[in-house]
Formats: sequence, structure tokens, C-alpha cells
Amino acid sequence: MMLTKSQIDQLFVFCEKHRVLHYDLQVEIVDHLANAIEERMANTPSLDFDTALKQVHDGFGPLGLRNMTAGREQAMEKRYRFMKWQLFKSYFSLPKFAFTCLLLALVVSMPAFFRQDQLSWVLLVFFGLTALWYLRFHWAVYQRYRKQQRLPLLMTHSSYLYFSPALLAFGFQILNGALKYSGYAAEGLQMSMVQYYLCSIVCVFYILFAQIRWEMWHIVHQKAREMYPLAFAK
Amino acid sequence: MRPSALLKGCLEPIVLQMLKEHGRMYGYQLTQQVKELTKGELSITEGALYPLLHRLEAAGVLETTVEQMDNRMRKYYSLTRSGKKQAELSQHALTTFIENLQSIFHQPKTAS
Repeated sequence: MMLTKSQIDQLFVFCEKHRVLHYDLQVEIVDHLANAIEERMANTPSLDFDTALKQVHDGFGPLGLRNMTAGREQAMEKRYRFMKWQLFKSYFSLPKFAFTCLLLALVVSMPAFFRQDQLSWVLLVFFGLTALWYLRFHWAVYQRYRKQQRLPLLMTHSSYLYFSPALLAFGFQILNGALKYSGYAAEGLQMSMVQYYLCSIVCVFYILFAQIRWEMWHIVHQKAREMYPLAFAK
Repeated sequence: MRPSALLKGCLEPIVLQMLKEHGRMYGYQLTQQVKELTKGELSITEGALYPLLHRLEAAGVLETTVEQMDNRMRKYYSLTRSGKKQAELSQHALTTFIENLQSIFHQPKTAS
């Protein structure tokens, strides 16, 4: 015996009540619950839907559906960490290595065109460009992906794909602190060459990280659209 | 000792073997197939199966597809290329383990 559309909808509500809020996880649980309920109701025709659902849910153990959500979250974290590392490595092999080289060449060649007392301004421009790069990334993500997604998916959860701009500020703070401590920092607004190169390389890496996240959004959303078209607006 | 306690450590090779045999399967089908093959002696609980499937998927051992089935969606699992190798390795490891167990439990009786 096949469950009706309204019974399937009840199973989605049941998942939400048990704090399974992501559609991709709900789909799997609903299918499992539905199969098990159908089998029980076929074996015992007097059994009603609610009792069968309770019996099946009890079979999930004392932690119930929560165990599934926690396990899935851990698995996703691991998977996306691996994916980020693979993408990061791709920027140090051809063809993307050309992009990394171009950015580094741009940074390294600057002192040839400016005096040392102008380098802090050059770095400030780098800062600005990095911030623009970051904003461009967020705007594009919102326009192309987040705006169109109408149901929450664990696989596109932003915590796996997001990275904090505070990381850049933190990196600079640590670098400057270390340089001052070791006597490599210049006085006042002027920058030492070591200071300039290290800080600008942090900017380059930040741009690379933004690129990596952008690619991840693209890959993950493309897969999510293929697998769960109903989660996206047409 | 309950069979479920023994099953815990063998769950991964069992799942990989089932997928190797059947190509692609969904979660409920896996639980039922194991129950059917063992005539109800072994049953995989949902609380153990899904975290394992999700872990193997994250590790690139399994890949998934979602299909519309009547009035609901169904998620199928299948082995990736590295998953097929993993299935061979885990089957070999389990066979060796069983042989070792047999040599412990079926020791020739020595006269004392």
C-alpha cells in the first residue's frame, strides 16, 4: 500500500518537529519512514498511519533523528574541508597557477615603481582591492545562489562555505606584531620591505581564498540543483 | 552476546559488499536486504546505517543520486571508483579476520 501525498507531507512536518530542518536530509528520512510505514501497514492492515509512524520512529533508537543530523553535519564538514584543500592545491598547479603567479608578480613588482615611503599607500590600495574582491564574491553569491534557494539544504549551508574577513585583519595583526618584535618593522607610517612583502602576500592569499570559496559555491550549488530541484526557485 | 554487537564492526564491509552486488541501493533497501539474506538474524538499525552512509559519501567512497519515485524522492547510493577498491580491501580484511577467528575457535584438541 502506497502512502498518500498528504501523508508524505505529514512526514516532512514530523521531520521538522524533530529538528531535522534541512530538505536534503528530510528527503532521505521521509523516504525511509514511508517505506517502513508502508510495509508495516501492508503486514497489519488494521494498523493506522500514526501508530505505524511511532513504531518506525522508535526503531531509530533513543537519540532518534538527531543522531542522523549530527552524523551528516560531521560528514559534510569533513567533505568540504577536503574539497577546500583540493581547490587550494589547484592554485599551485597549472592552469590556475598562472593566476597565482600574476597576483604575486603584481605585488612583488610594486616596489620598483614606488618609493619606500609610498609603500604603505600601495598596501592600502591592495587592502581596498581585496575588500572589493570580497564584496564582489558575496554579492555574486547572493545574486546567483542564495536568492534563488527557497528551502534550506545542509549541503549548501553557508557555514561550510563561508570564511571570515576577520581572518585577514587577524593575519595582519599577527604579522605586524611579529615584525615589530623582531625589529623588522619601520617606524611610523613608513613600511619596511619585509613588512610590505609579507602583508601583501597575505592579501594575495586572501584573494585566493575568496576564489576558492566562490568555486565551492558554484560546484556545491550545481550539484544541489541537480539533486534537489524543488529546493530552488524556477 | 547479541548478534548486533558483533555486527557493529562488520557494518562497513557489509554495506560495501551489498552495493558491489546490487550496483545502487537506497537506505531502507539495504536494511531489508540484509534482513532477508540472513533470514532475520541480522538487522541494521537506521541509527547505525545512515551515519555510516554519510561518512562513506563524505570520504568519496560512495556517490549519490536522487530520483523522483511516485510521490516522494529517493536517494540512491553507489560505489565510486575508489569505493570499488575499498570494497575489495574491506572484503579481504573481513575474510582474513573470519579465518583468524576460526583458527581460534576451532583449535585442534591437544592431549594434555
